[in-house]
Amino acid sequence: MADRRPRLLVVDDEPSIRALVQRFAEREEFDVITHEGGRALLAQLATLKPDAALLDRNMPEVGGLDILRIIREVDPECQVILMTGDATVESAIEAVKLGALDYLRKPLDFERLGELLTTVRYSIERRQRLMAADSELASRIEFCGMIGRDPGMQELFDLIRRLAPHARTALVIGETGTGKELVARALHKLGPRHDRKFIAFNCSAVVETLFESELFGHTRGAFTGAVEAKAGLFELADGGTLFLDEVGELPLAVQAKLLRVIEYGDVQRVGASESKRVDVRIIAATNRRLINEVAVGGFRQDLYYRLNVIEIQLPPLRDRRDDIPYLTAAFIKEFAARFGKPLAGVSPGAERVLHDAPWPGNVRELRNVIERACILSDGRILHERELLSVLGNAGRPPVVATAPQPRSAEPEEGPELDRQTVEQALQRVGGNRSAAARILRISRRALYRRLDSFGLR
Amino acid sequence: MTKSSPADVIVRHDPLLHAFQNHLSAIVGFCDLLLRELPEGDSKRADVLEMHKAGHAAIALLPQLHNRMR
Repeated sequence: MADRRPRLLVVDDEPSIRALVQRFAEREEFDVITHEGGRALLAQLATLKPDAALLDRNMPEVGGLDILRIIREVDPECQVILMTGDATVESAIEAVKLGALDYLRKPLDFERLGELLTTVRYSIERRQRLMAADSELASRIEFCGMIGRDPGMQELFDLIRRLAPHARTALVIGETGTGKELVARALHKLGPRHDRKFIAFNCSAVVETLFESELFGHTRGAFTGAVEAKAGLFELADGGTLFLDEVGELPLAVQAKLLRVIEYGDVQRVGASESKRVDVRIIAATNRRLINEVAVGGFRQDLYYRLNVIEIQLPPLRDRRDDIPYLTAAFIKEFAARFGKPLAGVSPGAERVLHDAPWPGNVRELRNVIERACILSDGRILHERELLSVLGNAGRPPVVATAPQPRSAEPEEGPELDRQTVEQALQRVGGNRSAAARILRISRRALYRRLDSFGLR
Repeated sequence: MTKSSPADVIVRHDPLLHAFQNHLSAIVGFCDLLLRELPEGDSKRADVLEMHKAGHAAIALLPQLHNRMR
């Protein structure tokens, strides 16, 4: 773990007092920033990011109590000690009410100041140790890229272990960002086909007319633009696993052909008169309630029952909030290493924000939030304000998967949308494309086409 | 946290005495640091201790100084 010394900000209008405290605190292994105070300091507070601040109470332009108030707003994790030549009981009570760690009289009692600095250092080290323990535990409870100590997740891991050697088809159900593809990859990795190909295909990302060609291939001249024969994904995945994400988006005509492949292993390229035999394990995934699609005729019943011979349900993150600290620790470790930053943990306030956020985009959204907060941070601890600036209006009601609408009710192309509107919608929901599509009142497929046209994918 | 002394209350209301106390605090503080750094038996310790005592004595005189200035 990368490390740095705790940072102490010393603010006093008297240079000799600043020099005195700096000399003492540096011997206590603190990095010291000194400042004479005033409005210039207020402008710099957000960028200085001290772990602790020692403030003179009586200064000409801005008093220590006012600086303390601002620090509490800008950086609630920073521990503040006030010093003064006139320590009245009233002013001491006011300082402590505002959240000061202590109130020291001048001349300074270095024994007491030393104890306070030790308290600051211990609290930082305690958070680092906690994060290291969470990160270590996260690595122990990691399963094929998924992290879950929650009993439901542990049962899920057991189920995957038991099913992987045998399952020929499986249906993975879960909200967007819950890790459906990771489940599919785990089934592949732990199964007999682990040394063969795993191909993932997102059914919501393909233009309707190209589905057949993509999945089953085509012969030369089968349609305009088919200048060469092309193998489909089923042929490419022969012997291995094909993961069909968002399978509920498949057009009905393609569903019929898919059923034939599952039942007989026969694949017929578009334009071909003969079929080929393939041996492919099919793992489908959806964030919709497919049985409702079946009821309104949007999904073939026979295909549904073929796919859900084995059904694996993934819980949303809001239903396993106790896993958030371990996921957070693992993501911070990953991004701290990737960005070369000395990040070692999150502040208690940040921990609360992460625990209470609605997470409509689930683990993927949490990962994205941590990644962006790590980019913004230049300290050792991720603070509440960094997470809030990334989360935006996290207090909004959660956008969760709703009961599916009949497809005819969902406009295929939707209204005219410019790049900025699409970008803003994505930012609002932490990059969650399903949620963005709902906000924009267009289908996921229509959203993908717009992302392509704006060069945002 | 300690109760305020008479000197504390006086310097709070007088900028000159406040500055004076700051300078004396620096003198006493640096003496404190030197006393922590100098090994026992070092001949300089006695001199620093005298400065330290004088600094504290000067701080204790601040209320009287305030009265004379009135």
